Amino acid sequence: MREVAVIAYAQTPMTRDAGAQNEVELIMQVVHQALDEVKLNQTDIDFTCSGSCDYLQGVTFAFVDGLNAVSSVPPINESHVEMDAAWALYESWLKIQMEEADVALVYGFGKSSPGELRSIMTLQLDPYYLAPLWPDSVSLAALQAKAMIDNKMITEESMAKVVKRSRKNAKSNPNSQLSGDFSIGDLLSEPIFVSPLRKHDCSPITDGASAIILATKEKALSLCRNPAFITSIDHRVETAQFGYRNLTSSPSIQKSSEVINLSDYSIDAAELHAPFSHQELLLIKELQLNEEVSINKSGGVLAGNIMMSAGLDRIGSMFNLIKSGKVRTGLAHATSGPCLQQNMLIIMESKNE
Amino acid sequence: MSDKEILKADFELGFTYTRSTGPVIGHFLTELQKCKIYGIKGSDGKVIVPPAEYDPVTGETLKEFIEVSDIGKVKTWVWVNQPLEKHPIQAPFAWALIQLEGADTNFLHAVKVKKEKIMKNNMKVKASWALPPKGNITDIKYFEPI
Amino acid sequence: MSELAAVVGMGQTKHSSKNGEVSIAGLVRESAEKALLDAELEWEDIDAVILGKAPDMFEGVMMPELYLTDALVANNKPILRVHTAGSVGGSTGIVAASYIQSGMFERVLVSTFEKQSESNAMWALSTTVPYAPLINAGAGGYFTPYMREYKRRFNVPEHIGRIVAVKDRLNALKNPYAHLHIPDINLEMVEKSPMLWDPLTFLESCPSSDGACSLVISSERSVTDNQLPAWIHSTSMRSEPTMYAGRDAVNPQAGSECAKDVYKKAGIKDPIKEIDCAEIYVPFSWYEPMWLENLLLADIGQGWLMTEKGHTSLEGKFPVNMSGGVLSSNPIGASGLLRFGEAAQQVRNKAGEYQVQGAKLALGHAFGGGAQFFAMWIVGANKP
Repeated sequence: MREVAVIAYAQTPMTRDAGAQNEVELIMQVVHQALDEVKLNQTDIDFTCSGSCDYLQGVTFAFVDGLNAVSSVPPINESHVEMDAAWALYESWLKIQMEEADVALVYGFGKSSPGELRSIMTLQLDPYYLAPLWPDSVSLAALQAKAMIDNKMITEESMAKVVKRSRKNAKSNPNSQLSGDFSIGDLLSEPIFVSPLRKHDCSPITDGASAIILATKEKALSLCRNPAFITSIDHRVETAQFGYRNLTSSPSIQKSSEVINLSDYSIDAAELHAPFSHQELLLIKELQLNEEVSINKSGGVLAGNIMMSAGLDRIGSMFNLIKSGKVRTGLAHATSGPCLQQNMLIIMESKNE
Repeated sequence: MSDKEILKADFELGFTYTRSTGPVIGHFLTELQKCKIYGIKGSDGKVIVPPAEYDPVTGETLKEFIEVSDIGKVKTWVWVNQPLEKHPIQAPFAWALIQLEGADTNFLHAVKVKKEKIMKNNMKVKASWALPPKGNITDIKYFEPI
Repeated sequence: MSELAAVVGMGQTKHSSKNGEVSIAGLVRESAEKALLDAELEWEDIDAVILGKAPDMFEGVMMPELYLTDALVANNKPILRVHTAGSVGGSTGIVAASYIQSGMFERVLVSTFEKQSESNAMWALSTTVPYAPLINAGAGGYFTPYMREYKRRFNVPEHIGRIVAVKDRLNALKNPYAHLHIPDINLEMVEKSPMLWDPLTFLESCPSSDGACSLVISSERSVTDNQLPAWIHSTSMRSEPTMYAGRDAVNPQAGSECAKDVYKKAGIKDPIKEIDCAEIYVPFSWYEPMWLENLLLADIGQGWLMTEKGHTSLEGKFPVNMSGGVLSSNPIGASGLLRFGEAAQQVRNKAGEYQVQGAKLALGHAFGGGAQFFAMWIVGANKP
């Protein structure tokens, strides 16, 4: 297996509404920022891969325009996943493993502001039994939270603690959308949105884009002071039969943890892609992370949630922690689908002495 | 640039779809027209409602239909104070995972009650049918407590 | 060095305007089961699933890998969804191959589909976004100006497009899975069919199909003697923007560079001599001669002569679209993988009535967007 590392990461400020800035303009910023960070040009990139979703933009082939943000004349070796860009990173990692590429550019983008995101996400559900009833993403997540509360796994207070920490951590993240100091009492006095969730238990509506550059060990060490090596990576999915799932557990996380030998690592920090506060608690339990593991230093997606890039942002946020020397071994997680249906785990490590 | 200078226009995107449903979903929807709810036996013998085409564990093609009751128990529920435009009930209501009598899995649907405090885990609910039924999941308008 | 990968199974549905007998999952599942049967494998032998299809709005299911996970028996396995416009079937095959070539997986299932009867593809392609020009033309209206330009540039006679339309439909008669079976197809019938976009008549255009195609791709060490592997000699993808100054949409740079790359990686110096046959993405008749040139299989301005002389017919020197091609079946998301898979079937000697005798090396090709995304692979009966 080739050693591969994240060597650069850029993210737009996460905003409620990017207004007139279109997707191409958002991508442009982060692609150039990431390339500049390691002094590379598009011609130095062997493989480019992006993640996006047509339904956010309301057009078919949203990614085709996105391509205008990277220099693709002369033509480039390029691909796209209709998924979170974390999976575009996975595809790029495979390309590096097979020696098709030494350096890869990955980007993801999403503007959730134009539509009603809760309802758009309904279209991910099976089109015969579920989608025609229009259960929205918040309601489905609320069912999961309620099931966890019923099982005495969490309380409204423990959910509020997640939010409190997210907002506090987000204060030191210049791109965050929501940050600040809140008391548990303040949070619990907010009105219920869809019971048992309050609005702050849900990740916000965000516009933005982000980009990551991956490279082989040799290239990484020559271009980056402290690259974050991808030691292990795996992703798994669970059944689409919503009523068949036990929403209070995550067999896909359990399986991936096993595949990446998570228990063999001493994890300093984790960036978890939990669009709802209770999901962070479920992930911590399923990943068996102890209290010494620092969770979502970036603020996580509760502080800003760029759809189709939020998973990639967890990897990018972990890179930031490793590059700055604050973390030696970290875990990044990405998710897709209702109630954590699909999950990816990545162990990232510094190799500096 | 100030907001005034930004051109804005409404853009509503909608398409209609014609579904072909196949032998399993088709059977379920056809029986709904007779106000009957069918499940299907999974590889482990569990009755899955609504019927899955393929077993979630083994992947086997499932074929053995089992009729279940239109009465069941609420296993978990949440309360929607402000329904969205497309929600099945245009007044505050509950989403619930309902285990119908004879089923081993939960069925997601809406429950119509006047107040949140009426909702309880394990409460008995019964399907309220849209008449005449059209062979769609929305033939069950919602569930109501009995 | 990358690991060697081989296609060891292919499955497809009977393509049709509307497959009303199955759900979306049922359609995909049928092709996947057939691919496993062909590979003599069971579901538990599959390590990962790669799904490809064109825009989600065609069926109105967003990110359908999430809904299809049960049908593809992917629960607790990795699943990934590729979307690269019309080239997606080809790209998905290439991504699936990279799972094996990376050395990370032993056997993967790649499934692609489109159930176009669930919606109207032309509408989904032409949304009226504010402040953007509305191209309410559909794919044919979009590509016809390029075909006209090709015809004008090289003074190509009118009947070339019709020759391709007849040839591919005659081939389709030998393919039980093809959507269009027109037994009495002939040049006159094509000429007399309604003119859609001059010079393109109705019978020179692809149909709109429901259909699915799946392949099983295996690592070298997992290939068994009975499997008749099609060894993947090389893969390549290239993309360029829809528009830029100086772009030649008739002979796109991304296509020719992709071809050069895929030949070079396979050690092919003289493609027209070394390759035995090709499955090329030809949704409109005139694209056969255009792509022959773009693929460096003919000199610029000479591609139509290959078509006219019958070299691209099943009995010709360089058979193209032996299965009937996109002109005979077009479940968009699967069309690229059908090209890739049909190329593999030829070198596996499993192409039935449309088998090119002694085919040892074949090209699979797909393109998409505004003729700007390209995916290609070379497969061989022998290891590279």
